[in-house]
Formats: sequence, structure tokens, C-alpha cells
Amino acid sequence: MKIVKMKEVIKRFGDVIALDNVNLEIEEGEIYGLLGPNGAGKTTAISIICGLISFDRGEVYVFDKDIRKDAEFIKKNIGIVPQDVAIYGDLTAYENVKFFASLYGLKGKELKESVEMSLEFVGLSDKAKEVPNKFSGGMKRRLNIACAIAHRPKLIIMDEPTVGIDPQSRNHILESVKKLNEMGSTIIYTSHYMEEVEAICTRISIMDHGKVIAEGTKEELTSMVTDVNTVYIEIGSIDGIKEEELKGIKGVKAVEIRDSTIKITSLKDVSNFDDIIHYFISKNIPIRNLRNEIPDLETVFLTLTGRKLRD
Amino acid sequence: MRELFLVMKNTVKLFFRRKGNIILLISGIIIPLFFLLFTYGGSGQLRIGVVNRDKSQISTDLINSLEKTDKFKVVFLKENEINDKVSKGEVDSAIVIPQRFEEEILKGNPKDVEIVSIKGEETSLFLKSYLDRKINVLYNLSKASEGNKENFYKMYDLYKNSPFSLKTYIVEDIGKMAVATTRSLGFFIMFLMFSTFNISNFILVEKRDKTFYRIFASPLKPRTYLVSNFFVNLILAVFQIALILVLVTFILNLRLTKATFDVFLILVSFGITSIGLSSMIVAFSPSTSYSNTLSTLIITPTCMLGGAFWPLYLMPEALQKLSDFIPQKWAIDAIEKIQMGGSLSDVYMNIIILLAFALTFILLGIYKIKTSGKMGDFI
Ligand SMILES: Nc1ncnc2c1ncn2[C@@H]1O[C@H](COP(=O)(O)OP(=O)(O)OP(=O)(O)O)[C@@H](O)[C@H]1O
Ligand SMILES: [Mg+2]
Repeated sequence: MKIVKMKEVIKRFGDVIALDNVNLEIEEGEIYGLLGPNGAGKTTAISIICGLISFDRGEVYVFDKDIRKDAEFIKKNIGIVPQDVAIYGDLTAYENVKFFASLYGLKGKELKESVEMSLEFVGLSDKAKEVPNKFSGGMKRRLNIACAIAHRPKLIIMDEPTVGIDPQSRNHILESVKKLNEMGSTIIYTSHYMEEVEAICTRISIMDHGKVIAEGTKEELTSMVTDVNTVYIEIGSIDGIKEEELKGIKGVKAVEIRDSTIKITSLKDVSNFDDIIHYFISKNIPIRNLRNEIPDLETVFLTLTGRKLRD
Repeated sequence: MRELFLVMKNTVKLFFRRKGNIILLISGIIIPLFFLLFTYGGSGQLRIGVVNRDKSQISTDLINSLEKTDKFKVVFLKENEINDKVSKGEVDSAIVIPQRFEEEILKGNPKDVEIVSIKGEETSLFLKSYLDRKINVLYNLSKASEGNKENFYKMYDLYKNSPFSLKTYIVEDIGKMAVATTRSLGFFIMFLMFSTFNISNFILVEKRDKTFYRIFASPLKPRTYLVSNFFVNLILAVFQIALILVLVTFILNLRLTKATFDVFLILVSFGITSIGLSSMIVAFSPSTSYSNTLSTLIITPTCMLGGAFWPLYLMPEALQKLSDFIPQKWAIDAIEKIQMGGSLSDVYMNIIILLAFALTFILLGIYKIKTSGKMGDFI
């Protein structure tokens, strides 16, 4: 079953084209990342998946159901963590989670238990009776998550859940995303922090100006921008090393020797790591340091758009 | 149904958690009551100067009946003292019973009792309504006796000793309310409007605080949410109205009568109009700052124009005509009618007009929400 399927979706806000022919397919069990700079259209895409806003063209299916026809069923099975903290500052943490969970039909003992579990899950059990007006930013963010998970949704959507919080809360949140996924929920995770997306997502869409400009696993994405693999090898002395011999190793395209570091560029789809190492060992040259350069998503974004992800 | 109840419960909870809401609710009750106490004073006895040019049995009885109610204290005046005593405030009002008062009643064309007053229309209106009722009874007796003096006095004695007096009691109670309450209920009307707006505005507050986004991501229907806001608003309005009427009755040491209930019905109708207006303001406002400004710009001036703060007749004629388009006018007009001894049948037009205003406002609001494209505009 496809959890989400967007086909050629177009969404305009007046003159602004927020989604420009967007295609997305999200499988069950994924942690799917939506990466993109401000105004890329991430929140718009999410709001459409949740049935919160209409769209101008295209088709959207969630849980194999048409969002225009089965919005109620779809909404019931989604939990959303909105980009802006969406909680009542004057209700206690417990009352907040309880109210939102009850909108999904939970009641009685089940409701009580789910609320307690959710608060426990985000580490706010001891703050259950306090009002969020007195919470720190990180605590509010955590409560924002608790409100989305009490009804145990099949799909949890998190829209930049870590904006503006301390590293400790951020790690807590990233851990809980993974845990929620292990507990059986599919996750959509948006961010413009590429480190986060790299760390937890199984698949990623990179969005810019309303378009999906690249899609795939992290490896697939990085290989899009480069078909070579670069290794830096640092040795004590370069005496006895012949450029020609290194170039003779299969797959090697270029060798560059600078001071005591050798940069070897190979074709990506040839695995020649063993051969390269073996060359140095056979010459009895000790390797001091070895670094394999993999392009990150930042490089991918830079290559595709000519801009940095964040300024 | 369950959802409706859930959201209503949550809205009530939110209402009572925010101090500002409670302050608004309480001041909406307290300030009009203070105003009432201030203008009405504690004793509540009106001093009535009396000049009796007739000196007949009927006119003496009439004066005695004034005295017998503990609402009036009768002070006999000489003809040339009237203006002096009234203007110095030694009496609140003065009445002059004309010559041949009894005679004319027997003939079937009763003469008006002249009333001199400076306390404003209301004191004299109350007195007038009291006297009108009395004289009306006499007139009816005279008509029934077909000018026969003997028959008239027979019936008159019967009337005097009958438990009919109960009816005059009601009139007195209402009249006493009329003296002081119209203005304080006028203030209450303004607070009620701010209060209903405050609750309608919860929708925009939820939008501002983003809880709106979360609510509409849930399976809850937008309609359920809007209806629940309306009901909570209505419940709190009814609560405030009932509370202020009970307190007014208590403070003025009156009994709850049918008139109190009529005023209650009028105020509730006005409450519905006010909720309709508030909902419309909210539907047309993109943000809380916008709606707050808009509501202040609408509520305060219309209360002035509608006669909530001062009697309409004090305003220029053109403005008085304009007030026909203002719901407050119809509410206050109806309250005055009831206080002058009218009944529901005298004010049903006012109530219909109020409800028509309400319907118009609500339909305009719904139209605005529908045309702005689902609730999308709201997120
Ligand atoms: N309600 C709206 N009315 C008008 N324009 C909108 C609205 N919502 C979004 N937009 C526009 O659509 C575009 C996409 O916005 P969106 O919020 O989806 O971006 P985003 O990727 O979530 O950005 P961010 O990282 O800042 O949250 C932006 O240009 C934005 O200005
Ligand atoms: Mg966003």
C-alpha cells in the first residue's frame, strides 16, 4: 500500500505557485524527508495531504483513498505536528493532549491511557498538570508532538518539529521519531536542516520553488550530482609512489599528489578500495590517515540549484 | 453530537481559564449594577408634590393610593410653590389634579393630571403610567355606570376593596424598575455585545494560536466547530442576562414578575442578534487585531445611536431616524414598553425585528465563509 501518492499536483495562492506539478510516493514504514528552503512548498504539500487545503490540479491519495472523497477517514489516521506550535497555552499539558485525542474518537479509559503514554513518550509526564504558557520552547515542541500521537495514527507528519530548540531537545525529538517509526507509523519529516534529514530519513525529496527537484535515498541523491568517488590518503613520505601505477588500478580516473596527501578519484560504480589499499601495503608505505569524501545533501542542493539550502 | 459537546466543553474551559474573559464577564454585570445603585439611590422613595384643585372623594382617594404604596411620599404643596420645590429638588416630581376632575370622570372624559418634573422623562413617565392606569380604571367604571353617579360609586367602592390592587402592585414594581433600570440595562447591552464578540473571536484567536490548524486536521467538521462556538456564546449570554435581571430585582427589592421574564426574552433575542453580529465581524476579519478594531468601531457608536446610553429623544431627529437600523434601539424600545406596563404582545414586533437582524448577520457571515473557499482561507 502506498501511504501517500501525489500526482501532478498544482497549488496556487493568488499569483504565487506554491506547488508546481508535484509528484510524491511514500511507502508504508518509511521515514520520508521533505527537504527544502523557506517557501519551497513543504507545508503546503503537507496541508494538502492532511485535507486542510484544496488544490488546483492533480490527484492526491492517502492510504489509497482519494483525499477529495474520503477526507474524514484519512484525517482520522493522520497525526500532524504543525510547524508552528499549536497548543492551548492556558490548558494543562494533559488537557491539551486529551482534547485533541478525543477529537479522534478516543474516550474513557483508552483515552486516559493514551494521553498518559503520549506524555510519557515525549518526557512530559511530570509536567502533565502544568500549563504550556510556563514551558520552555523545547517543552512546547515536545507537547506539540504528544498532541499528534495519542490516537496512534498510521501516518505521522512532522513539519519542522525541531525549529529553534536546544540540541538536547532536538536529539530527544529525533530519537522519538525513530521510535515512533519502529512502533509502526510511517513518518513524513520536513526540515531545512539537512543533517537531521540525513540522519533519520529512509528516503528524501528535495523541494525548491514548489517543485520536487530530486528524490531518492541519500545515496541515490548524492550519486546524482557525482559519478565519482574521492579518497584522500595521507602518508609519511611520497617517495616511491608512481602516479602511473596508481592510475593503472581499475576504475581510477585521476590522481593528484600534494605534499603528503594523495587524492585519488575513481568511478563510483567500480569498487577498487581494496586494490588501492593493497598498493600502499605492497610498497610498505604506512598510511597515516584516510578520508573518503561523500558529497552531502547540501552539495546536492548546491549543485542542483546553484544556491545554498540555508543562507 | 459527541463532538459538538466536546468542543463546547473545551471552549467553556478556555473561557474560564483566561482571566480577561472573566473580568469582562463580571464587569459587564457589576458596572451596570453600580450605575443602577448610583442613579437610583438606596431608599427608592420618590417625593411627590401634590396640588389638589379638585378636593373630591376620587382625587383624595387617588392621592391616598399614592401614599399607600411605599414607593411615594406625598408632600402637599401650594400652587405657587411647585416650580420652586421641584427645581430645588425638594420633591422629585409634582402633580396637579385639575379642577372638576371627578365631575369629568363621571361624564366619561377624564382630564389629564399635570406632572411637573426635572428628574428626566423616566420619573415622570413612571408616575404618569401609574396615574394613567388608575384614571383608566375610573374611566372604565364611569363608562360602565353610564353616567349614573350612584352606580359609579357602588362600583368604585367594590373596586377599592377588591384584590384588584394586586395588579397595581405589578405596575408599581415595573414602574420602579423603569426609573432606573433602562439606562443600566443599556450599559449592560453594550457589555453583552463585547462579551459575545469576545467569544466569537475565539475562532480568530485559535487561528492566531494555530490550534485551529490542528483542529481542522482532525476529523471534526468545521460546521460542528462553528455551531459549538455559537451555542457556548448563547449559553453564556443567557447566563449573564439571567444573572443581571435577578440582581437588579434583588437590589431594587422587587419580585420576579412576568415583566422580568418579558425583559429576559427581549434581552435573549438581542443576545442572539449580538452573537450574529459578532460572528459576522469575525467572518469578515482576517486577524484578531482587525476584528478587535472592527468590533470597537461598530459596537460603541451603535450603542450611542441606539439609545443604550441616553434617551433617543435627546438626539437630533435625523439620528433618531437612523436608529431604526440599529438593533439596540429595538431592544431598548421593547424594554421601555414592558416597563411602562406593556406585555409581550406590545413588543413582539421588536423581537421579530431583532431576530431578523440576527438572521441577516448570520447569513452574511456564512456567505463570507463559504465564498472565501472552504475554511482554507482560515489557515
Ligand atoms: N495561505 C497562504 N496564502 C498565500 N500564500 C501562501 C499561503 N501559504 C503559503 N503561501 C506561499 O506558498 C509558498 C510555499 O509556502 P510553504 O509554507 O508551503 O513553504 P515551506 O516550504 O513550508 O516554507 P518554510 O520552510 O518557511 O516553512 C510560499 O511562497 C508562501 O508564501
Ligand atoms: Mg513550512
